[in-house]
Amino acid sequence: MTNYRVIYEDPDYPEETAMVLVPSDNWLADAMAGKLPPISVYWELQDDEQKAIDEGRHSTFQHDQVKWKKQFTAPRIGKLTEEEAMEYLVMKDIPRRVWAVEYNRPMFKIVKTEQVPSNRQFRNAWEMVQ
Amino acid sequence: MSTIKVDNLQTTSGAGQYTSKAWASWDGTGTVSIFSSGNVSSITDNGTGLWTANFSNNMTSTGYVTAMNVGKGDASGDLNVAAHYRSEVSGTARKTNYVRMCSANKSNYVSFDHGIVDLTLTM
Repeated sequence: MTNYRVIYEDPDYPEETAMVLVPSDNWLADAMAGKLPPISVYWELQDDEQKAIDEGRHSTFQHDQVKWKKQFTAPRIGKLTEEEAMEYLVMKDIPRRVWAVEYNRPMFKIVKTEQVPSNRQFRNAWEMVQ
Repeated sequence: MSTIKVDNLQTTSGAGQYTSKAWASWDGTGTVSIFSSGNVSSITDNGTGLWTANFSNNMTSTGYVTAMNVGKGDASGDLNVAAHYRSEVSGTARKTNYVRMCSANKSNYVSFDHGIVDLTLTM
C-alpha cells in the first residue's frame, strides 16, 4: 500500500477546499509493473471529450475508437518507480490547469499520508503553502 | 496465467453478458482509504461527502450507469443516507475518465463523510 497522496487546489474553483487524491493500489502495481501506455494517450482522450463539451454534444458522447483503443494497444512505457508513478498519476487524474500552468504559488504537492490532516474541519480551512 | 480477449460476451442462447466496467469501495472518513477497486486509478476527496472516482482506462462513451451506496459503517444504522451524482458547473458529473458523487444525511441533506462508500459502473 502506497504512503503517497497528492493534495491540490483547483484554480477554477477557488472557494473549494484543498483536494486529496488517493492512488489505487491496483493501478500503482500496474504502473510499477510497466503496464501503462504513454500519458499522451489519456490527454488525447481528454481533448476528444472536451471538444464534445464545447460543442454541446457531451450527453451522447462517444470517443473516437482509434484514440480509445490506444489505451490498450499503444506500446507500454516500461516500469515506473513509485515516485514516477505518482507524477504520472498527477498528469492523468488531476486537471491540466492545476499542474501545467504556472501560478504565483504551487497548486499541487505530492506528500506522505501522515502530512494530510485527517480532521475534516481543520482540512476545510486549510490552504497549500510551499 | 492466460488472458481471454473478446469484444462481446454472450450466453449460448445469445443473451448479452454485461460486466462491471469499474468499481471501488472506500472509507470516506478522515483521509480516504480505498478498500478494493477495479479499473479505478485513484479516488479524490473533494470535500465533505464529495468524491471523484478516476478510471484507470476511460469508458468508451458517457452512456454508462452507476450504482452508488453509502453507509456509516457503525452501529448507528444506515437508514438516513443518500448518494447521488455531483455535477460540475458545466453539468458533467459523468465523464469517460471519471465520475463525481456525493453523499448526505437524508434527514437534513447535509453532506457527510460516510465510513463505507461503494460505487460500481456498467454499460
